[in-house]
Amino acid sequence: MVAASFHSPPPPTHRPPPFEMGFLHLFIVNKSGGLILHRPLGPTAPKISTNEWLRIGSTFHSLHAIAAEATPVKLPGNKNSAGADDGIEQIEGRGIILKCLQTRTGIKFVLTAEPGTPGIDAVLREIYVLYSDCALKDPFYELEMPIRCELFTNAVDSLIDQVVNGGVMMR
Amino acid sequence: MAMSRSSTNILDRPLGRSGGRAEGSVVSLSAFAYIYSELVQYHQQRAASISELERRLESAGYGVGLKVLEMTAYRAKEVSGRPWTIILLLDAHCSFVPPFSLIRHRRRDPPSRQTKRETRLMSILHFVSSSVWKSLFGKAADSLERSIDHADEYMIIDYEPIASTFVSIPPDLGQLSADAYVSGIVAGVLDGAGFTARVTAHSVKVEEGEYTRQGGNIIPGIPPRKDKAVFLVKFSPEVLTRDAALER
Repeated sequence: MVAASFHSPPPPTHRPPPFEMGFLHLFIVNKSGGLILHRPLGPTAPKISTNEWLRIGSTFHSLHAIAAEATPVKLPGNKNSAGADDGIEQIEGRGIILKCLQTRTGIKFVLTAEPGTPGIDAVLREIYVLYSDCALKDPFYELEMPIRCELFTNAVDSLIDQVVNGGVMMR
Repeated sequence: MAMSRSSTNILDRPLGRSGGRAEGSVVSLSAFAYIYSELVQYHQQRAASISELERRLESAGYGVGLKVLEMTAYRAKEVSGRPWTIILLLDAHCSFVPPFSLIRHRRRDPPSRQTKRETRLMSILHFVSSSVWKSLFGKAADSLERSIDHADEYMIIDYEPIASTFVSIPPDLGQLSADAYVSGIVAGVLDGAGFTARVTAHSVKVEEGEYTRQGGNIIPGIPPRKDKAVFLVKFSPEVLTRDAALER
C-alpha cells in the first residue's frame, strides 16, 4: 500500500478492506507442464495472452518441481498428505494469492485471487470435482490435452458466480 | 408358482436414476458415463465421418433395443397387477383353495404372463416413451409429438438425456448427437415389435422458459442443460398402411 497521507490523517473509524476481494484466474497444468486451460474469473483479472499463459504454466510447473527438491524437510516419498507430489501449495504477494492443488495424477489446478478472498481451497476442490465430471467423462476429451469442454467452462463460471454472489458453497 | 416381485436378480433391475424398487436397483451414472465414453471413443476411432459415427452408435444400441423390448414387455404384466396374479398368489400362499371351478380351471392353464402385444402405432410409441424409458432411465420421456408435415414422423423428446449428461460436442463435430446410441435402442424396440422405423437423434436448443427442472440440477454443480434430445421416428410405409387397415 502507498503511504500517501501527508495531511493530518482523519481518525480511521472504519477502513475499507485494502483490496477488492475476488478471484482472478484459473489455470490448469498437466503432468508434463503443458497448460491445458486458462480462464479469467473476474473483472479485475489482468489481461494476459494465451502465449504468456503457456509460459507461466510451464514456469510454475518447473518451480513446483524444484520446490519439492529444495525443501529441507522431505515428506515420505516426496508425497504430501493428499498423496500428490509435494511442491508449492501457496504463494502470497501484496496483491495476489496463488493456491495450487495437485492431484495424484499430476494435474495442477492453480487459482489466483486477491488477498483475503475466502474459500479458495474449497473452490479449487470443487473445480477438481467438475474436471473429473465434465472433462474426464466426456468422450471427446483426450487426457493431457487442452480442455475444450463447454460443459466444464460453463460449470466453472457458474461455480464462481455462486461463490461470489451467494457466498456459500453448494456442497 | 407365483411370480413374486421380490426378485433380486440383477437382470430384473432397471438401469436409471430412480428404479424406486429396492436399494441397489440404480446403476451409478458415473459408471455408465465412463463406459459410454469408452464406447463413443471406440467407434470414433473407427469412423471416418460424423454420420458413420452416429450409425455405429445406433447399431450398438439396436441389439440392446431388441432385448429391452423382450424384458420390458415381459415385466409389464407384473406392474399392471391383473386379477390373474392375485388368484395365483392366493393359491400359492393359502393352504385352503376355494373350490371354485373357475380357479381350478385357471390353474390348469399354463402360467402365461398375459403380456399385451402392442399392435397399434400410437400404443407402441406410448409404450416406448413410458415403459421402455422408465425401465432404462428411471423416468418417462418428457413428451411424444407428432410431426405436422409428415404423418409418418413422430418425435420423442427428452430434456435430460442421460447418455449425453457429461458430453460436450466439440465444434468440429458439429451436428453430432451424442444420444445416437439411444436412438438405436428405440429403433431396436420398434423393429422388434414389428414397427420398422428409422430413428435418428438430434440435439436441439431449448428455448427460454420451455423447460425448467423441478428440484435442482441432476448433478450438483453442473449448470442446467441447454439442449434437449429429440428422437425422430420415421415409420416405413408398410407400417402406416397396416395401421390404417387396423383403423377400419
